Amino acid sequence: MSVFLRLVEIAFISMIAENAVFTRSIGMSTALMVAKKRSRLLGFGICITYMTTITGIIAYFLFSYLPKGEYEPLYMPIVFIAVLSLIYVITLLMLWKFKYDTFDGLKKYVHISAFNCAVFGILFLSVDKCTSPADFAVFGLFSGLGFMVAAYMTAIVYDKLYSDEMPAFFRGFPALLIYNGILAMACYGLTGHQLTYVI
Amino acid sequence: MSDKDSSLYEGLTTKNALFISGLVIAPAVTYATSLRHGLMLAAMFTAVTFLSLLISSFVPRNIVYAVRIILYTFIAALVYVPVYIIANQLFPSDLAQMGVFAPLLITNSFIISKSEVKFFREKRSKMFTDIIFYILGYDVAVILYSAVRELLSGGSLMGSIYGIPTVMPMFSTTAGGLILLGFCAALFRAVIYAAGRKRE
Repeated sequence: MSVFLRLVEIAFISMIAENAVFTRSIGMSTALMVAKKRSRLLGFGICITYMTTITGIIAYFLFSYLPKGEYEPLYMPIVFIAVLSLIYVITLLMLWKFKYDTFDGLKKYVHISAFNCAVFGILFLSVDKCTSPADFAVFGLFSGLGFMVAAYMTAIVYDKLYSDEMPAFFRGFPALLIYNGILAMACYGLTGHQLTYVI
Repeated sequence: MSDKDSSLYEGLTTKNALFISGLVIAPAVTYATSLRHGLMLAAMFTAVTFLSLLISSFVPRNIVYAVRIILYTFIAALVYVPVYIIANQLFPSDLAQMGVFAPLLITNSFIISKSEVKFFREKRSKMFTDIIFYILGYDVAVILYSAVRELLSGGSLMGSIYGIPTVMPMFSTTAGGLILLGFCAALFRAVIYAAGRKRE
C-alpha cells in the first residue's frame, strides 16, 4: 500500500503541485510554442510524455551502474544526451519503418520533443526525486502529462491574449507570461511556497 | 545600417532573446532572483552558448538534420564540462544554487533551434556578429531583470540593502518572476516603440 501511495504522491506532485512548467518554468518556451496551434497540442503532448517516460526508465537503469560522487554533475548531462539521442533515433527509425506514409508529418513532433528543456529538465528532476524504476516511470509519465496540462491551459487563452482587445504593449508574449505567473501562484498555494526537491 | 549595426540593434532590442522572443526563460525566472545570480547566469549562458555555437558551426550542413542536432547537443554537453569546472572553482555556492538550470543551458533554444533557423544559414562573419549580439542582448536583459527583481523582492542590490520601505518577496518566486518578466517585456516593447517613433 505504501508503494502505491508513494506513486500516487509522485503522480500528483509531478503533474499538479510541482508542475515543472509552473513551478520551475522548465519547458515554458516549448509550452508557449506548442500552445500556438491547438491542433498540434495533443501530438506534442504525447511525444513529450513518451520521451520523459522512456528516457526516465532508461536513466534509472544507467544510473544503477554509474559511479556516484563529485564527477556526477560532469558526466550526467552527457549520459542524458546519449539516452535522449538513442530514443530519438530509435523513434525516428520506427516511424520511418511503420508509418512511412505520414513520416514527414510526424517527424517534426519527434524533432521538437526530443531535445528541449522540458524533457531534459524533467530527467534531472527525476534523478533527485525518484529511487525505483516505477518512480521514474510514474514521474516521467505524469510530468509529461503536466506539460500537456500547462500547454493546454495556455492554449485556452492564447487567441484572446493575442487579440486586439489587449493593450498593445501587453499583447501576446507579456500577457502570456503574466497569465502563467498567476497559474504558477496557484501551484505555490498547493505546496506552501516551498518546493520539496531541488530547484 | 551595416551588418554589424543591424545585428547589434536586433540582438539588443527588436529581437531580444528574453524580452521579445521569450527564449531561455526557465533559468531567468527561477534562478535569477538577484543581481549576483543574474550575472552568474549571464556568464554561464555566454560561455556554454558561444563556445557550443562556435564549434557546432563547423558541423557540415549536408549531414542529415537528425544527426546534426545530436552533434550540437553533444558538443554543448562537452563544452559544459570545462565551463562547470571553472565556475565551480570560482563561484561554487552560486553554481550549487543554480541546480538543474546549469545543465539545462545545454539544450537552450540558441543551440537547438536558433542555430538551425538563423545563425548557421548566414555567412560566417554575419553569423558571428549575430551570435555575439544576440547573446549580449540576452545577458543585458537578464542582468537588468535580476537587478529589478532583487530591488523589488528584497530592497537590496548585490546584497547591499537600500532601505526601500515596501518589498514584495513574491517576486523572488517563479510565479512572481513570470509576472515581473511579463511587465518587463511590455515595458521593453513600449521603450522600443517610443525610440523607433523618435528616430522616424
